[in-house]
Amino acid sequence: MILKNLISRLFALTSSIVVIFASTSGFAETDNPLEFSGFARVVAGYLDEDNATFLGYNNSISINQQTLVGLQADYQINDSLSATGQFIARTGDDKDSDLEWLYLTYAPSKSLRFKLGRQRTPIFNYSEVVDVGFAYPWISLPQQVYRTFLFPTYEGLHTQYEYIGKKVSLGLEAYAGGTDKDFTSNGRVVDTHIDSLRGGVGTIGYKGWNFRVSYHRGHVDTNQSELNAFSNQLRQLGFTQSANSIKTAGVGRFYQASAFYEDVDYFFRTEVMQLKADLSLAPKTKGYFISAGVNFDPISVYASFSKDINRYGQPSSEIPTGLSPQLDALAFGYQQIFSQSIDNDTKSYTIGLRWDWKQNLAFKVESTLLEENNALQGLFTTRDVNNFDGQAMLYQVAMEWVF
Amino acid sequence: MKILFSLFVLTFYSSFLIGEENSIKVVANIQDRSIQLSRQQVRNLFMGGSLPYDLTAISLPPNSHTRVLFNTKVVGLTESRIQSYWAQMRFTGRKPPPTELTSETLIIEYLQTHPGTVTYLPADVQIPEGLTILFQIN
Repeated sequence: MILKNLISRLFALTSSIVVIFASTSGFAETDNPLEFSGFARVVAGYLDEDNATFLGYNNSISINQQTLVGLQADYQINDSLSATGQFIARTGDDKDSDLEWLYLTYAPSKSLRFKLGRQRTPIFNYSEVVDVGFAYPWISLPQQVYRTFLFPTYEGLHTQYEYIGKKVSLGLEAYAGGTDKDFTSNGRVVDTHIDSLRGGVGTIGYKGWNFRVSYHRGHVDTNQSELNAFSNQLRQLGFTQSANSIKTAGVGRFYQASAFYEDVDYFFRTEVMQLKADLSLAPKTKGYFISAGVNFDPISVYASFSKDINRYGQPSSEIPTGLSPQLDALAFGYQQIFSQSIDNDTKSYTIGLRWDWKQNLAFKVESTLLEENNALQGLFTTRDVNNFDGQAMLYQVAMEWVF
Repeated sequence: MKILFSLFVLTFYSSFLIGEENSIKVVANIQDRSIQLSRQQVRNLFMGGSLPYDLTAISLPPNSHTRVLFNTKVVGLTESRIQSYWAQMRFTGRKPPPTELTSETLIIEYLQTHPGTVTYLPADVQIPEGLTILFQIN
């Protein structure tokens, strides 16, 4: 009943928008300077596990985690200048509805493009279209690469240059900016300030292959007042190493490389990433996924494997214990901070099917075996540590629509 | 022997007809008639890329048989994958898809009146004077 109501409301909303703007919407270029378009996804998921939750899913069917509607308006100011805004209404508890993109595009030539304003950070291949499920085969992107929360959006300048040769095409992108944003992680709002954010992306296309490498860095300040106060207290008492080890601000760096191949019959995709962040509660992470599939147009089937390794900084042992109750309490409080930072490895095995029913409407089914090695931390959002074995099956079905 | 020869001629002629039927040529309204494009350049042009030449791609609709042939022989992607590619490009502010016209007749008329435009057509379509073939694939 809830599913039916939600789908009805979603369709009512998007249909109204489509009807209202029917004269200006569409993918093909028109003479109208104002164009509206959008995307919607309805995702139902079920985690076959009583003792853990994942991405908001538990052992009952839920459609409130990844279901969303996005609307985009493009206004062509003149031949080389345009303005774009994209608003996304979400259902997930951990996700805010927001104006995700708001930028001006200046294209002095067909090969050069500048975008100024609020944008998604182009860290990975699909970072900018995480919400547009129609753009990729999976229902949930491989989490071992795509779940990292550091600087997903920014306000700044993005430059893109493209060269197409007889046999090879090359692309270069560079951007710089920063942002202040509240990110919600595991139900907890983290007030985050990001500055000195910059990065570069290089791509090479050759026949059906596309290779991409990129580097991104930014200074992140997660304003966690309790941790900051405790760090200051440690510093005043002379425990500098301990104080430094619970930094809530520092530089985060992403390294990314990917190789995609596709033709009419097959596709293969692999992407590797490394994250290094000077923050006590952010692990050093290495992750990758490998995916391959076969097309029986309009149906494609695929299998994916993804893995990550997460390593946290170790706590200092400079606070002496057994000398006074005050120092013991201090040492205990300090160690407690690290009790939630446990090294872990996680894996996912996914098989799925996508059926492009219409030119702009696709259905997907997907099942994923999720694994975290220690059943304490890593992949799952919550778990009953006494009963959870670290493994669970996630089943999802989705409808993806662009209009 | 005569029958064998007749069969050979028939088979050869049939294969020639099939080959011609499934051939694609890329034609443009351009001043410089010496330009020849590679398959990679044509592919990129119709996937929103920019070539050193000032060319604007015009496409047929997804249900067109010629477009299916073009996707298979030149782009190397299924129509479903092409649509998901355009969704990615559109919602990240990167590239717009080519303008689509509903028929080959309309496209030829459009090309004749719009310098710099380029499209793909079946090889057996009569190309009017003034248009140049940039690429052909069997």
